[in-house]
Amino acid sequence: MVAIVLIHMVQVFLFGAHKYPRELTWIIGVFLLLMTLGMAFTGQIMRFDQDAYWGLGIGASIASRVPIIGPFAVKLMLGGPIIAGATLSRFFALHVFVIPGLLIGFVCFTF
Amino acid sequence: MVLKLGINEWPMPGRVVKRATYEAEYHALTKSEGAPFVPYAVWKDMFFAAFIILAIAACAYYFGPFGPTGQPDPTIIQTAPKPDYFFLWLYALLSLLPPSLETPFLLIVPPLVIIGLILLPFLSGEGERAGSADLLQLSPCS
Repeated sequence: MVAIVLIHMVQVFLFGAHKYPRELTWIIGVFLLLMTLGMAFTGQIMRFDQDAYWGLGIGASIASRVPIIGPFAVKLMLGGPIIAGATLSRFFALHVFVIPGLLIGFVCFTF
Repeated sequence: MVLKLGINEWPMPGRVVKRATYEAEYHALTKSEGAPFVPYAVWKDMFFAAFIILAIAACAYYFGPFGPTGQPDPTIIQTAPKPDYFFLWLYALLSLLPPSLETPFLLIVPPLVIIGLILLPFLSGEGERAGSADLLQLSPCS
């Protein structure tokens, strides 16, 4: 999905389809790319293996470095102070409900 | 928006997009050369949607599921975890960057890239549609 989205984006750019009057379509496309990367990251967590665990650790460490809201962002992301069952539930909800819902919404908007 | 603005026309050398005249030109073009999406173009979408779904199904059949790669246990340190291919570049970059640059890089570069992507149609919203013309227009040499 990430590869196909990137190929499509390159094609849109090379065909100049981001130019007037379709600027907003491109901007929604950028959000769709971010959503797709979000799907990829949360999907990787769904395996809940070593890669998922340490990937989450890196994600949480990146979030913790954001000034001011860092600790809050980590707690929101992990559902507690450590990577545990609550973390998996949160990422399951993101992967299955929240991000697909946003994706469908944005795709409908581009039509 | 596709329904309202129509599908982007084929890029042609010499055909320049100008805000003032584009819509009239596009309507003239759709009248002279345009074909309705159904039934003339819908088969392409259906064909490629089917092709992609079959390709994914074929990958699932031939390669099977990926992982799980081991217990998600922080006490096991004899492990070399790495992300899937789409984040490998970030993993490689973070392992190569000096530690002092990690935080500034992580907090500054991704927002700049996203802002750049969002601003792209406003930086090059007019001119020829061909990507080569666009790259020239955006390059500092122009």
